[in-house]
Amino acid sequence: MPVQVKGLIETRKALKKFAPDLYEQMNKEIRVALKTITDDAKTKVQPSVRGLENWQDLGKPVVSRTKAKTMMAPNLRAFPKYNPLIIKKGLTYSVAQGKRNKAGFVGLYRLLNKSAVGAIIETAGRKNWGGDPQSQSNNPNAGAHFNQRIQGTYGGFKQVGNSRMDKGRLLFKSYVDDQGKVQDAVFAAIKKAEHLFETTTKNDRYGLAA
Amino acid sequence: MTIGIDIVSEYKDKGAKLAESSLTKLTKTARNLGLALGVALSVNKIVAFGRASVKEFTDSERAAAALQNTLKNTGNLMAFPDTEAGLKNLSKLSGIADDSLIPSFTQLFRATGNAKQAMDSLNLAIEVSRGSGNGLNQVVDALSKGYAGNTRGLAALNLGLNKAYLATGNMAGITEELNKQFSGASAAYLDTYAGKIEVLNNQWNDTKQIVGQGLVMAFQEATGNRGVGGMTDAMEKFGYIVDAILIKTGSLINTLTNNIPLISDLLKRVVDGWSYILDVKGTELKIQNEIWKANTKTWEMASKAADDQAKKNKEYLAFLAKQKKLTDAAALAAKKKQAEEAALKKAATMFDIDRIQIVAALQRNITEDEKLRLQLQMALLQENASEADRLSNQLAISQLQTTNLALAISRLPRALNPFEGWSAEIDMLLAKMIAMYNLLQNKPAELKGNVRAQVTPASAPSLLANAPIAMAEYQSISGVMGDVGVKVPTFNITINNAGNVVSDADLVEQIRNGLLNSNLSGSPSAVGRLLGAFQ
Repeated sequence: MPVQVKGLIETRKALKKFAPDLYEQMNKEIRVALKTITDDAKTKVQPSVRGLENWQDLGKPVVSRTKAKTMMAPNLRAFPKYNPLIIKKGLTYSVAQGKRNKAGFVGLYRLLNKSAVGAIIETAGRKNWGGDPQSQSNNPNAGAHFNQRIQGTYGGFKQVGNSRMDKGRLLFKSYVDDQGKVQDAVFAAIKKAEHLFETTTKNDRYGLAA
Repeated sequence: MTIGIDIVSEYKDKGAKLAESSLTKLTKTARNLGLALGVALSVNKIVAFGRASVKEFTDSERAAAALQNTLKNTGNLMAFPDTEAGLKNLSKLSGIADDSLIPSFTQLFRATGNAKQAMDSLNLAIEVSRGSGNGLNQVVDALSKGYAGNTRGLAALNLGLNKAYLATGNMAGITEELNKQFSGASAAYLDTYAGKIEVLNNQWNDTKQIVGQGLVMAFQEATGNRGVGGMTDAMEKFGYIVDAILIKTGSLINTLTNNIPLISDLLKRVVDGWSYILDVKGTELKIQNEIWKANTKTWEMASKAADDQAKKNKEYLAFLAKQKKLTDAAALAAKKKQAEEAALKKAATMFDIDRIQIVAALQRNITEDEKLRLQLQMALLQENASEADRLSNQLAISQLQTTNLALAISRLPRALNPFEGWSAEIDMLLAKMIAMYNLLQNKPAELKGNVRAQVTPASAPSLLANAPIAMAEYQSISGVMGDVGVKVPTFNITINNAGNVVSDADLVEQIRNGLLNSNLSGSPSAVGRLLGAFQ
């Protein structure tokens, strides 16, 4: 479960402005901590999904068969093929401030699963395990089959937060397996930087006063 | 789609709260670092207050500043005062606020790149706008796009222009056509009630601008360097009071003027008196003076920039000329120095003692070797490497030919007697020949053709000397016979030198024949097959 804090944005701004070296050092330590999760998630990526061999990316260009490009949506792309390299590449982290969400919260340190196929592996079946109940497909069980095959290869979801959407198979699982160690490391880095910043500021002030 | 997990997140309120929070934090941080340098008295606060209280004035100022900046960036700063005055005039004539005209003018100026053309186009745009009912911004937008080659906007305005004609993109022709169609539309509009209202509104806005400028000046004067922090409320109250006085006074004057001429006259005098007391004329002059000062400042800035540029150009040209002069002088000096060095070298050659001595020595009757040495020395003094190399080689050869050859000949050993030791050699050769002769004398008789010979143990080695296989077989047979106690007979063997007894079979055949002959001649022999022996 992400931790909500107060004043960190200002702290980061102040650090960035007045002690850029401390800011860089803090980010460096945080990056190391975050990388342990992404590295672990990368080890969970399987070379192929059993039962979905035709989904494997064989390097051929994929063309959408159900959607055509239109003036309104010129960038529609086909359903991505399964490519473990792309999934691994997409498993990353960010120490940049994110966008404000609907609830007004801003993510400051984030673990990311950026690739489309990675997101599919992470979340397939999270909302409708048995496939879309309103599916108009000739094969309405395709969704359920797809989810089951992924589940068979990757195992089940692991829950991070309270919402049923806060669960996943790769990044979420690694985060849960980590048991909060990364979170502690991130906070330790922040505290350390804050402490050093305060010390420096005091020294500067005394220096100026003297 | 990116799936993400926020490790750390923070609630971020938007709007005023965020601004307040951020400002507070920023100020706090700045204070903590000893950098709180009178934020309360910053220019930003003055501007913020001015924006709220004298909006018209600041809008106008901002538009004017934008115009000035655009003209400055395009190198037309000198055109700013005329342009500004022209726009104010146009504003008065058209009833459109100058702060609305300035952005339109700027847009057209960007499209045309010419202040006069932009002003004409703006006039035209106003006429077209008034005549066609389209918004001024729309018309200006279409015209500026038209200047950039895109006449689609003009077509969309439905101005009655032929589509094919528009497609040619000939803006000179298009503007002429528009002028024909819409000329006088603005004047006609201003004759209407709505037009008059608009002119009045515009004039009121201008008045507000003047008042706003006066207020700003007054407040600036009042606050001086003390800041405006505490003055804000007072000024706000002052504004309301002035409004109330104006409204009440206006209605009172209106009532009295319409009803009692005497009072009207009296009031006029009172107003004039107040005007005199308040020095309204002076204030007006002061404002005019400020405007004049601002314009003068712009002129001065532009003139200074032009002067600076001219000065820089002049300096640069002078610098280039100086550089060229220096380069030419350096080249001339180098040439002169080279010539002087050559002359000195020549003169030095004439007075060089070493060379003189060498030349003198060369005049004398000297050997070839010495001559070469002297020439080599001269070449070394002249630093003529190739000549020195050539001469040194030649000298080496010459030395070998003279000094070293004699030495080498003297060191040659004495010539040897070629016949010395011949007698011993001949004696030795003779001895060897004698030995060979002796050997030839003892040579075994060479068998020729088919020879019938009697082979006995004594004669076998010599007879079968050339047939080692036969000899081996004979020895084997005779040995076996000796072992079993049989006397080895004398075999009559026909030895064919061409090679009858070549193989074992040949030998066996010969022995068999020999045995048969022995039997027939009364000397029988028996072979015990079982015993494997002869009897």
